[in-house]
Amino acid sequence: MKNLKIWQKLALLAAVFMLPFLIVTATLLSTVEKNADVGRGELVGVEYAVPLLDLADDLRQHRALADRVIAGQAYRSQLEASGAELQNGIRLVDEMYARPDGPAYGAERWQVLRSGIRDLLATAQVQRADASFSAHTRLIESAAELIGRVSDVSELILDPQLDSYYLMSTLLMEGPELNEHLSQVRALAHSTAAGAADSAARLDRLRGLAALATRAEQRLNDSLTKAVAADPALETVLLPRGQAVANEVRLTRELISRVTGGQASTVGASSGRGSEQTHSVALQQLQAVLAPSLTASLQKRVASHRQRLQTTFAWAALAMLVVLAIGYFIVRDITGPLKQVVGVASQIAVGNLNVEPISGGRKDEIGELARAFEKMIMALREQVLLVQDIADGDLSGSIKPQSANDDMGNALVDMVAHLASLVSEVHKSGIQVNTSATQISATAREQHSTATEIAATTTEIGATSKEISATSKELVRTMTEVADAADQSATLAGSGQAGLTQMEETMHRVMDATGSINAKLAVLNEKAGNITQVVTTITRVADQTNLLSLNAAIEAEKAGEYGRGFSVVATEIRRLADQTAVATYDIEQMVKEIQSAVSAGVMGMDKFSEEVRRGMDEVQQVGSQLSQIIQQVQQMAPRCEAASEGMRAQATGAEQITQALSQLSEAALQTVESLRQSNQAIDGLHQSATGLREGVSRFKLGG
Amino acid sequence: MLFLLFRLGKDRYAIDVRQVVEVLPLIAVKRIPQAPPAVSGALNYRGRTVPLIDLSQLALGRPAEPRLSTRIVMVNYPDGSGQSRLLGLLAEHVTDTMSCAASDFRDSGVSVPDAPYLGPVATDAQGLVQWIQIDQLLPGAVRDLLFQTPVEV
Repeated sequence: MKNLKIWQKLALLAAVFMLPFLIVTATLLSTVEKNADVGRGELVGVEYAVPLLDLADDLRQHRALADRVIAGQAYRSQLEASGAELQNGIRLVDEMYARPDGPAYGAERWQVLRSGIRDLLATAQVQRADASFSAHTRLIESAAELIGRVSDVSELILDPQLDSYYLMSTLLMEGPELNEHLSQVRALAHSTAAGAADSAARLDRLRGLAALATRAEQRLNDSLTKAVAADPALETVLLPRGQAVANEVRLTRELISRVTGGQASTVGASSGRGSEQTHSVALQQLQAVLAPSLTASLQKRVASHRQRLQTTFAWAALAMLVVLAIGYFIVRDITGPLKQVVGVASQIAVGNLNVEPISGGRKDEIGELARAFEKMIMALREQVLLVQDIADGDLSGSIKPQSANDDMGNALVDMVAHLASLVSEVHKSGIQVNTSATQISATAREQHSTATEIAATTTEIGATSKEISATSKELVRTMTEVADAADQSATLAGSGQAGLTQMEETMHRVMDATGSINAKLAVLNEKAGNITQVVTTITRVADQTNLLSLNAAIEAEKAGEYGRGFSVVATEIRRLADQTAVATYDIEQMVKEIQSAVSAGVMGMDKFSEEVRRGMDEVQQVGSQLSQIIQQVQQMAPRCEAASEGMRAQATGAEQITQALSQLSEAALQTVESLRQSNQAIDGLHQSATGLREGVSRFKLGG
Repeated sequence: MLFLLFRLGKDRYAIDVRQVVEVLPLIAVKRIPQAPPAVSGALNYRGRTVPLIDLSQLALGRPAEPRLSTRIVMVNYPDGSGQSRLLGLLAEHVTDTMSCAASDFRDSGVSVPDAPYLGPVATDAQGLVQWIQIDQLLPGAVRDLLFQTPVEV
């Protein structure tokens, strides 16, 4: 809502209020329109119903004529004329159904009815009297049904609230009903008078029909009276026709009483062709008056609806226009003065206080706002005048704050007070500055003599620092020699370390050689083991040989004399085997000696390699110690370098001190000079302070 | 006469070769549990099961050392019922024979009641040799144990 302008807000409000109004108007308009539509539908329905009513009437005439012709009377030409009228009526109804806005329902019923009429026309003269009568009656009933159907579909409303109700009721219901009853009564009366066979039954039926006709006539009269009451203009048109119909009914009743009274001969005498058709003519005339009256009434209703529609629409449009016009004036009345106030505020914002009065005598909130602005401008103008006074040096003007919350007024009061105290302070300070300047010039004179003393002292210090410089240079030389010596020892230690590294490598090689000797000894041991195996094999062979010779000797002994020679051989073999055993024993001994020697060699080699390893460890220890020595010596060299660097820096520093001191003595001389100059400046200051005091005295201080 | 020589400890002894069936190398022996110590076990000799007596165990109380020269001497042993049975004797150093007459053996002059098998002694270049009487070899209890029930199946 904050982003909307005032006129937009008002427009929104108006729109919100207009919405229900518009809805109500639209509802009203649609209701009226619907009623008008209903009236139009009824008009169309009446238009369709009239030809069907005519057709039914034609059928009734045709029925009466057909009865006469069948009864042998000379009505053939009238019957043919009636047939032609029926054909004409069919054509009219066909045209009605062929129209683009024709009735939507009943077309198929109409087709049935039409073919029924055509058949009837073709067979009218060859039928029996009863069959013809009932065929005609069926067709008339179908026509009445079709009329009812068309009425339903075209929304012919039989609502007693509507002024058209009684006209429509008379036209569509009571008129045709009465017509039908009267036609049947006259036909029956005629056939009874003509001497039909079953006179008693016909008389009963006649009496029943007479009662029905009387009731229909009463309803018709009732409806006509009410229609006239609804619209008095119809009185002159309708009532004479109603009288004619009543007359016909009366004639019919007389006819019935004559027939039932047994005066059949008088019926035949008094009934002519004219009296037969009179009721139908009277009713047709009534219908001819009713249909236009009904149409006129419906048209009047539709026209009045249309007029209501137009009136409602016009009033609604007028109301909307008035609302819009009032809204426009209100918006203009608010935004115009507001724009003016905004312009004045913008001018004040940029410092322009010479603006026109804007209140213009308005008494609303905007007028109050403008008056507040004018008051603000007045207060600002007063303050501007005061500030101008202060700028001119008049501090005696009194300022009253507008209110306790007047920050600017309070600030101005504070400012004047502060300015007054400042001016008096400045006045006092001017006097003090004069005094101080005198004191400073005395001090400057003292500093002059001090500076001269400083110059002398610095010269002495310069001589001392030159001596320091010389000594430092000698020390630098000595430190350089020390550093050289340290370098030499580092080199010697390095070569010693290299020798040790070689020695370590040699020892590694010795250890490797020891390892290979051990491997060879192991091979030797294995070979000796192989020899032992061979010796064992030989021993086994010798043993087997011995065993064999033993058994041989035993067998030879058992053989007695025959085995003697063999026994000797066995003994020899045994001796050979024994010798072999001895030899193998010797070999075995030698192999064992070799193996023990090898083991001793292996042990010796192990011990030797252990010693070599220990020696190697010691060499490594010596090496690491030597590398530590080298590291220390190498560290010493940079330290010597740092020391000699420091000394060199010291010498340089001493020289720089000498230079600085000479500059210092020069500066002391310059100080003396500048002190003289500052004395002159102090004199100037003195004069300025006097001028300041005179300037401040210009301000007028208020009580 | 020819004698087969063997040793018990350092002493040499002799067996008449006529009682010897065959000299066998030291072969696998099936041990017999709970048998007397002198019965070393049983062995299969050409399809027959033969008991084996350890002479070192019998005479010296220690088992024979397992050497190449320690061999099995298969002998015919007359059991008490006049039949001759096969008996294996485990003896050390069975490597030599000696040929001499039975008359060369003289009585040893010492008679040990527990060792009735020690016979007369003879002398050769290497010293004294004592004749072992095979039929006296086994004590009665052992002999009964070995031969009371027929070993042959």
